[in-house]
Amino acid sequence: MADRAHFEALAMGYMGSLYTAALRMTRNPSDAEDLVQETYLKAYRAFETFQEGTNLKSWLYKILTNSYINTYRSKKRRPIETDLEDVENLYLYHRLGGREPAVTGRSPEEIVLERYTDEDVKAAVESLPEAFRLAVLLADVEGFSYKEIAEILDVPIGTVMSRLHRGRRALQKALHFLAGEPGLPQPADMPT
Amino acid sequence: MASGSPMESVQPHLGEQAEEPDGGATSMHPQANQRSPEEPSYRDPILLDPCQEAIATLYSFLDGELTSERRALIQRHLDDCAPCFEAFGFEAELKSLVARKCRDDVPQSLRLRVAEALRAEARRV
Repeated sequence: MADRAHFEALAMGYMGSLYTAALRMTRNPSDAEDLVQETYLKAYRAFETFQEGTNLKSWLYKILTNSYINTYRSKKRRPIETDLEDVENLYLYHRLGGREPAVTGRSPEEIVLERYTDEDVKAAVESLPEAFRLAVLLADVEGFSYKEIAEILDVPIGTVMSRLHRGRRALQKALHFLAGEPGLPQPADMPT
Repeated sequence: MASGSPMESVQPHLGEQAEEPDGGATSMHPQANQRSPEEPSYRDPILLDPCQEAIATLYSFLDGELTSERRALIQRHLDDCAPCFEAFGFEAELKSLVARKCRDDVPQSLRLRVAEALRAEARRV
């Protein structure tokens, strides 16, 4: 068995990002905590197979993802969702455009974007079908490369790109519909 | 790991864009690109329109997944084309928004639980 102190020194620092990913995967804090604990236990048991000097974060994410797929998704007894309506490029950009005068250095669209709350963005990510949600999480929240995501999810790079790019476009539509247009005065607030 | 901020290479040109006479265009259209025919054009025979090509490679560009040669071609188009430049800026901002607004604090109880589970596992073996 691996040296526990050594394992903890290397691996515990990733708990924040693993927990965040687990929450988006399970959409449930209690399941997310169980999933993170399971991931650390499995990683500790398998730590001797981990090659030091290779990417520990990516290795932990592969364990997390496999545990999620094997434990939590199989509970739902349905295959991984790969259906997603096609959304055009620049969906949100075109819909947020031209609302306000520009301020130095930032477009009005970018200023409107900033008004989305953490809850809006989390809800939009969680609304994505699983396959797309995982790709968006790994790329945008965790900053993994396409190659790393392909290894974590055990799919070809072309599949990663397709899921990620379609997932991002669907996320824009979700942001538009779930959260509406943030910060715009509602009719009731308008001066009469 | 994806390298660097995708906007690092885009942002410094904001000032130049604002000074161009046609910098105020707001819609995506081929005419926005005024490249003269003598200049080398994009090599992909299917996507001849540079704005379409730029938008088609937008995500790979922002993710740092293009070859340096292809990245330079797209970057040069962005330097010339205000509508594409603005669209890329928006998408880069959205990507960074998702990264910043999807974080959760780990409950202290979870840290303790995991540490305890690892101790128990170490004792068990």
